[in-house]
Amino acid sequence: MSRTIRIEKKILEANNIIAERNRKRFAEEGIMVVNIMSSPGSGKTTLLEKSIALLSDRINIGVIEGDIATDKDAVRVEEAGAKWVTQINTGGTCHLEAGMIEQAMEDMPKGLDLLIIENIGNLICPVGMDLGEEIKIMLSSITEGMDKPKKYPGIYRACKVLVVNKVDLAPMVDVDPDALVTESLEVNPQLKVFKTSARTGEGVDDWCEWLLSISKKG
Amino acid sequence: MHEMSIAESVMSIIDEEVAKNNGKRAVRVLLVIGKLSTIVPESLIFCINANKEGTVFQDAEFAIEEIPGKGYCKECDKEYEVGPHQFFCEVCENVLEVRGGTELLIKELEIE
Repeated sequence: MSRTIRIEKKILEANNIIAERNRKRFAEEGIMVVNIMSSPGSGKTTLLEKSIALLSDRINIGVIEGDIATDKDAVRVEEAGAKWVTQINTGGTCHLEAGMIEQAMEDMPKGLDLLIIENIGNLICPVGMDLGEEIKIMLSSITEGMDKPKKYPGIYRACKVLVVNKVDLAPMVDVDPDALVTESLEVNPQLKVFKTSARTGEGVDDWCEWLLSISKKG
Repeated sequence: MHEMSIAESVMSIIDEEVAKNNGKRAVRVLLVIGKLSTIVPESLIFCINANKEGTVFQDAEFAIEEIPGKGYCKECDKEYEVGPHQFFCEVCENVLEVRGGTELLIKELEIE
């Protein structure tokens, strides 16, 4: 005898429950948490290196690095001056999940002001996974071309903030950073936008001031 | 393409529910997948099939109910069906608000 049970259970519920647990913990400890997403090679780690160098004397920053393999990024941000870094290697999984963040937090000290999660370089898979972060940030480098906002609108729409990176390379790749901003705003008019060159440091001050302003909660 | 981790969630929910309801095995599983969920049903089933041997759902039939995407345009005050990559109003080209099609759930489970 078989019987049918209506369960109506969300497949990602397990992830969402942990994400809520993370969110509660971050709120209790007063940590601002941002989740940075982008394509591979857009400059996430370079921007983090520059940001940490500028901010680490002023606030306590924790970094969770997500990669398929290696601890190269963790080493880089540590060398830039980050004191609290955890590297997650997903071994093939194309996005970070809330449980990975919960586990990584076990190694983090108390007293963080800002936690930066660098997600796996991927414009599709990380979007639907709630980690318990407060702000999703998208990094879009101009070398990726003008068409990304409309080809991958999901990620642009999920984020509150857009950083257009590698603006120093505009003359070489014939992409106008302002036009890329316009394309992005057409997909998500609510985006707060920064234009940076992590390599030269252009625009990084403004971006860091903003990070500082959001991490001083209450 | 992150169907493998979605498949893992599906499989663990089936395990849990079969045990919770004192069942021996799952006979049929009805999944609801929204067309805007970015999940490809065929890939999801492929991942489950590759991992089902020796489980309580190894002989189960997996059925999929697809939910169409639904977009709403504020300018036109109109709601209509949209495809997975349609984020702009087909009439005025404004950004659409997504109102359906992102579902991802196990709706029913038949057990014995």
